[in-house]
Formats: sequence, C-alpha cells, structure tokens
Amino acid sequence: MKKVIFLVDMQTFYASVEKADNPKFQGKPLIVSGDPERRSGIILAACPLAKEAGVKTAEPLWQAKIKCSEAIIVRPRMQRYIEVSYQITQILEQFTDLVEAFSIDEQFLDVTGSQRLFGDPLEIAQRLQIAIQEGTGVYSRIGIGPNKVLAKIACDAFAKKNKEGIFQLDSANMKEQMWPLPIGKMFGVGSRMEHHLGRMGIQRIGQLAQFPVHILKKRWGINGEVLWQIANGIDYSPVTVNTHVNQKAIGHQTTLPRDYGTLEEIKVILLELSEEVAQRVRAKNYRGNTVSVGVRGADFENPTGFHRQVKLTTPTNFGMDIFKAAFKLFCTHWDRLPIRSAGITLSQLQSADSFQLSLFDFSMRKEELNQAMDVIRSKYGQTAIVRASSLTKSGQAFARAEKIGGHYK
Amino acid sequence: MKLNKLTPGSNLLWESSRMVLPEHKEVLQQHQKELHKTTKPILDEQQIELFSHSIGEAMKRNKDVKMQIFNLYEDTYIVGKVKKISPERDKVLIKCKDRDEWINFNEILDISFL
Repeated sequence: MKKVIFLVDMQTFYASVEKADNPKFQGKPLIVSGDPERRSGIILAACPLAKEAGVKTAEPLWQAKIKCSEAIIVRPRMQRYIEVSYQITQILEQFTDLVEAFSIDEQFLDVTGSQRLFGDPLEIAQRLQIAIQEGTGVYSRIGIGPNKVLAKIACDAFAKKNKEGIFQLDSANMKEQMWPLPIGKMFGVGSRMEHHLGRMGIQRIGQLAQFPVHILKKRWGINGEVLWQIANGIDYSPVTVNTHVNQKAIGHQTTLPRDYGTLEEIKVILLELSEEVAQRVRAKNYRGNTVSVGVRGADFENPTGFHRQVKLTTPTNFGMDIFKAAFKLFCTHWDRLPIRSAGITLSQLQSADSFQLSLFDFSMRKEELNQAMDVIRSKYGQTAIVRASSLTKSGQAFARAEKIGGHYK
Repeated sequence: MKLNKLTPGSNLLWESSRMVLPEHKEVLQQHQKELHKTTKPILDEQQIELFSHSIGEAMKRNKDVKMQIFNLYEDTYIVGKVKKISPERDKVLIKCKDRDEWINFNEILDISFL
C-alpha cells in the first residue's frame, strides 16, 4: 500500500505563539527578537504582517525596526514554544500514533493507516489544520507525499506559498511540479552544494534527477547517491517515534557575547561547556569515549575554525577529563585568531552502570564530588555552584543558565 | 556493514539534519515513556496463595529467588534470598547481593526459584 506521509509546518511559529497568547497583539505586526545587547539580537520570527513590511528572519533588529517601525517587539520564550510544540504533537497523535518531531515547528506524520477513520489525505490535512488552529491558534501548512522527502518539498516549495496551505506531491505530479524548481530548493542542498552542482551544469532538480548517478557517487560517495534519490523522489526513511530515544552524543555549543582572543578567556568557556556536557551525560547515566571540540572564527567574511575529535583511554563523565582533552585539542589546532563560538561534544556514549575501571585514574572522591554538585544544582539551580573561573568576565555560566538554545527561556 | 543514509529503514537522512533543542528532546522522551506506562495487573487469589507458598518455601530452604516487581515503565526484577517475612506489614525482606530490600506483597508479579 502506498504510504501517506505529512510534514506539518507551523507558520512563523514563535510569532504565532506570541500572538495566540496575547490577543492584544492581534492584527499588528509582531517580531520575536533575541537580545540586541548580544549577538543573538537578530530576528527569530516575524509574523506575516511584519514580513509584508519587508522584515526578514535572521536580520539584525535595528534593520527590521527601520523597515517596520510600528512592529511590536517581544523577547523569545523558548520554554513556552517547546510546550506549544509538544501540545501540537499531542494533537497530531489524535490522528496517528506515528508522529516524529523534526524541529520545534516541523513534525512528520504517517497517516497511511488512518485513512479509513479520517478520510483521504487532503481531508485529513484539512482536519489537522483546523485542529491545530483551534487548539493552539497557530496556522500550519502541510506537505503530503508518499515519503518524507516529497512531503518536505511539497511543504517548503508549495504548501507554504499557496492559499490552502496544503499541497500533495507524488509520482504523478513530481516531474511536472518539482523538477522545474531551482536545485537550491531541494532538501539536502545547501548553498555550497548548490554552487558545486551549478558548476556541473545542474540548475534544476530535474537535471539532477536525470544526471548519471555513478558520476555523483564517484564525486560525493553515499551523499551523491542520496541527493540523486531525493531528486527522483525516492526515500525509504520511516516516520519513527523512537528517533529521539537513543542518544549518540551529547554536546553544547555557544555563541560568545563578544569575540574571545586570548587563551585565558577561551579556557574559561571551554571549561564551562565541558562541565555542562558532563552534567548532562551524568544525568542520562552515560559515559562517553570521544571528545570533540569545534570553534568558529570571528571574521564572517573569512570563515575560519575547526572541528576535531580525540578518543579517550577510558570512558568518562567528568567535566575535568572532558576539559583536559578538549583543551589539548584546542591548543594544537587553534590558529590564534579570535573566536565567536565554541562547542564541545562527548560521543560514543555507553551506559555508566558497567564500565571498565581505569587502573590508574579511578577515584571514588571525584565520583562523589560530581554527585554532590549534581544534587546541589538540581535542588538550588544551575548557578548555585560554579567554578571560580566562571566569575571572571569571560564566564558565561550565569548567562547560559537563563537560556534555551541561546535565547531566553 | 555500517549504517548509512541509504540503508533501508534507517532514519539517518533526517536525524543528521534535524534541529531539536535538548530541552525539547527531553519533553519528547518523557512523552514516549508515559505512552508506554503499564497498569498493575489484578492477580488471582490462587496466584497470590501460590506466591506466599513460594516465599515461605524459599525462606525455609534458603534458596535464591527471582521476583518480578511491578514498575510503571519497565520490567523490573530482583534476585536474592528471602530473609524475613512480615505479614503484619505485608512485606518481605529480600537479601540481594549488595543490600537488603523490603518488597510489598502486592507488588510482586512473579516468583521463580533459581
């Protein structure tokens, strides 16, 4: 039986939630913006009215203010958006048990088995749209396809642009509708890939679809074949509810409030990130074997930076162990240019219940110390106990504790 | 073979490109956990009779037993010797490898001798 997959996308999600929560904002242009004092001071979401005035997502707040001076500007409330996103997940689950969140404002559904109960795909999509609107006040657009790739493209390239906010893409209309689209509109093609393909004479999705696959494979390996399959509307990925259960890596990344140029300053942020990663890993009862560190250079025009990883001798969930490995890596690869962001990840996770004890480095004291810190933090808050270095002016622990995803909770 | 984006049934294509905040992920994981919550079965009277017999037997013969204990989210087992029975508190004390644990009679779902 042919599968019926939906991608449900919430229109200007953060802005829509703010409008739904505050009826007095109805009918006025609204912008959700990060803190203008910091680097996150960019437009996170602009409602359709603000967009009409020319406001674009990700532009700096001051620019948006010039274009739309009467716009209401609100701070993001990330926790609330997560709540509403979850509420939408539960609404979607009234139609099928197969719901997979792809991001905070996009969710996949497999409604193949729901058609007897709720009608044909278009009917289900309309019902869904109404249910989400009534339940949360958010307008959604729905792409329908026989798989995730076509559902995603149906949504991004068509449903977001038409009046109904619903579009179906399948083998019958794929060549006529999807193939003429510019290659940059295809899922999986970023600006760099767009450039590479352009140089090979591929400008439209259809051209990629008809391009000899062995040449793509030779150049990009598996990824080349994946792109070719996407262009041909082929995708066998399931909609899976368990996709968020297994965690392969735990990492933290932060954009700094200003560029950090000295080793002393960078050291502080690396230690804070290491501690945060370690704490999260412990909370999940894991240990990890591989530490990776990534930084991005300050200069936007000439992107610099690196991402490197190292394998540890024994799996760990101690902040200091992670920091030591990360710091060593960083010192080896740093080009001495100022950085604007840094991230640390611990991967190759395994259960903390059973692991090989290190003969040389096992310390019950360290174990107990961490446990005590975790208890203090869970009881009195993330900043109840911090390292002294976090009190220096390069420390970000206090600022980070107030945020989710780099924006206010 | 190593899993890749072309492996049928894999979700790697989407997992590698999605953006889910850790806090969001937490909520979704909790939700999945709640969905799989079990309810406590109502045991037959004769079954309970059998359990109490087994417990007495295990204590008398000092045998290791494996008990399934009721848990909302996953199957939980405890292995050990029956050390004490307290009918007035409806509990039984199990001596496990590293600790002793009081188990409520009404939370026992199954008992087997090892």
